[in-house]
Amino acid sequence: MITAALIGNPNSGKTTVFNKLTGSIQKTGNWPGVTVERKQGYIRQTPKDKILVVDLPGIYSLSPYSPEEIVSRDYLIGTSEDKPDVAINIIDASNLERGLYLLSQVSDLGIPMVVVLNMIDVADKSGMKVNPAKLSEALGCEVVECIGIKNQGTNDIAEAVQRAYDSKKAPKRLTYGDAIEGCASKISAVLEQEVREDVLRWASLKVIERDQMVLDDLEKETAESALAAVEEMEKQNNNDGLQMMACARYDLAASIEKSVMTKAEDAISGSSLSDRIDNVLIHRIAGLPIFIAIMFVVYYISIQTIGTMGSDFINDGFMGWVDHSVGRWMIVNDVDPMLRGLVVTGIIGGVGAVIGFLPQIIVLFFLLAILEEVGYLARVAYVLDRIFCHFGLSGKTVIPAVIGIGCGVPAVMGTRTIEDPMNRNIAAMSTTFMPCSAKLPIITVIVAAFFHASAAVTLSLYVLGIVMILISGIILKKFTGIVGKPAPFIMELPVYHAPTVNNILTSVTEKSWAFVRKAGTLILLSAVIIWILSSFDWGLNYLGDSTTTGSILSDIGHAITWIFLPAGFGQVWEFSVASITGLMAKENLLATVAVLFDAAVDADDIITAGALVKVLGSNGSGLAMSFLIFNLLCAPCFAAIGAIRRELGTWRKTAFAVLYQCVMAYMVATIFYQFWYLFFGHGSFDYCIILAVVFIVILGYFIIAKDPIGAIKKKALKGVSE
Amino acid sequence: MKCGDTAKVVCIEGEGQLRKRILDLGLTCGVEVKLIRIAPLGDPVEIELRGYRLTVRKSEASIVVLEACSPSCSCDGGEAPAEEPVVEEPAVQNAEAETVSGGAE
Repeated sequence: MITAALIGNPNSGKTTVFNKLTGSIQKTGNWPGVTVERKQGYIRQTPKDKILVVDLPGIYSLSPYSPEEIVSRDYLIGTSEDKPDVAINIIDASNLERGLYLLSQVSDLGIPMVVVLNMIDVADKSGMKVNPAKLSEALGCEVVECIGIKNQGTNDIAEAVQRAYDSKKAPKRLTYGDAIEGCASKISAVLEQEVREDVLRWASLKVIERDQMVLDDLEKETAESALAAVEEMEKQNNNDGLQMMACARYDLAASIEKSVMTKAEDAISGSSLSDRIDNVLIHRIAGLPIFIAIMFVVYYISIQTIGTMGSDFINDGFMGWVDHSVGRWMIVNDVDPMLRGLVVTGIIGGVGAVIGFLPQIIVLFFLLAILEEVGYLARVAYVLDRIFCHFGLSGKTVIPAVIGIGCGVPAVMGTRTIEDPMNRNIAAMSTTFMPCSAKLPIITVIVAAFFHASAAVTLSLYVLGIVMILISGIILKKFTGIVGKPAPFIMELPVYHAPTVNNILTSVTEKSWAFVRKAGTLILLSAVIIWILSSFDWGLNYLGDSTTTGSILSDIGHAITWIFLPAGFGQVWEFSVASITGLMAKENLLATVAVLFDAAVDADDIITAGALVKVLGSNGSGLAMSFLIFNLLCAPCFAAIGAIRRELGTWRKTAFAVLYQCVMAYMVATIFYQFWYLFFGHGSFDYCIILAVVFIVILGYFIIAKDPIGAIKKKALKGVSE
Repeated sequence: MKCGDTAKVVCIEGEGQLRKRILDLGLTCGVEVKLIRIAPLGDPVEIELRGYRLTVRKSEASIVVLEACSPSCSCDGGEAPAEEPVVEEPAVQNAEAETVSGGAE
């Protein structure tokens, strides 16, 4: 078996090529950092199990910067037994120079290499033509031209990999000028004893860059004597090793580019079309309003109009019909009332309430996929960075937040591209504050029931999510005790490209199918359990389908409901139960409410929104809203908690994150409800308003105080004692 | 620098990961950079170098020493005197960043 590693700059199309080679459907997108984990698959055109391709996160150099880049670096360097046989170096042909910079480092490793010139169509359009034969000669390895997105040339890659493997030929040794080469050979002599022979040259050059990961692997004395050679060179050249190395590599890249590329007279770097789009989309004045408008359109189409039309059709039309006809059929055929209750109230009521929102979710995923594919997402980060910077966060926090509107799990994983560790952790802890698509059904139902399906109310919940992320930037930072400048923001802006139908459809079907699957399994199971617990008392006697009073669940609900009294929705035990079941999957919020309320009002054809109004009365809007706020902000579903655990690394930090989210949710919901009650509660007074005021003071203290828990002081003292 | 202006990189100051990343991205001595546009809220700036577009905050870009581009400029290492230095303290506090970068424009 041959293992071939796909390596290249971020957003150079590695995953697209990978998908075409292996027939996988890994996620792609037009922004740097879509792939954060190693993925592998066999090339499908060759006999089975012949060539294993490993897709790696994109990197700019072999000295990693963020955790997903370490994955790529470590895999490529490997160990003497376990490392890729062939490196497939993917280079965006329209960005040849930077691609060659990385290539020079891969080439230092001496692994047989195949160079793939991707996106030659894009380069062509901007008047750049690369001569593959000349490039092949300059690098000493095979060069394949390809257009990954159109599946052109991908077949040649497999053959080239096979040939590179058979010949075992290392690429041509690239040289970096006398000063560096002299120093490198001195370092090699020092390192010889400790470093594997195959990576010796690479490691020697990395020592010149003072690469910490390489130096850490060396014995102290070895590292010191190697660095002595570097210092000598630096003194002679009056420059530092890192800068000399970078300049030498880029000079080499530039000279290779010059010899293999012809640029048309009127060639303009970048894409002129992209530039013209950007002149409007990220315009100095119009940029921000346009962003708000785009998000509003996404929301308006998916939640307000087209998506809702579909959902209404399924909910009122189709599900109503199913509910009704199944119910009638069972009555006519004299089916046991208990079974009828289970099927009609439990299964159809619970699962149906959730599945009805599939159209909305499909439309939402579709629009988000377009934003990702086109390349706008990276621009959002650029436009909003100033705001996030003000709260000590990187603009890159925006990308996971937007993805989080779809699903929290990929959003949390997406935080990995944020370079600064503290910033990354804060983003992983707070990104699920954005209402995900699983929370959409309950939002829609409650807003429809109490707020005339008002767009402003729904949107405000999304704004709340962003505000909470920003506030978390301030608060969570104070727990770490690290003061200082906000995390850096350095990001390339991808060239816009038209979305491919295939990519969008794959992405939308996959996510929608996951939603349906979840409804058919987890939600179905939960709905059945909830129905059973709410239909039987402790003596396991069936209570009939028109009441939940005295049921097991009702007792449990009543036992815990006091917790949520300050937030208002503790008055309704069904809401307390739903908040617990929502942990499994947020779709359960609606499924639970649907099962319990449908039973409570004995509603054969009243849909959940109607049932809600009937039980809570029109005055229930405050507590329903408070219930929403709590559940949008509190701990996400188990899947997302698992993702947070993966990003934070320890259960201790994860527990802190979940606790933080729940406490914030509780405080915000309480503050909301108490003030709502104060103003709209017809003059009555609730002692819990005191609690709300206390919460405001606590929040305010954490936001304003410089060092609320003394973490900074502690850190400073520690620093002194060290 | 104004939008559309071109300048040449003299050297990269500062230290640590930020400097490494900036060098990796091709902001090395002698390369020409063009200021394309400034973000709506005034902070990250979009620059063009080596045929691609990069966005970077002003405070982070401050470690890049530039000189106004003239045909005769020589770029041989870090000691060349910068005619139009954009050097600032790298560790500018948030609130101050506004005034500092405003002045440098």
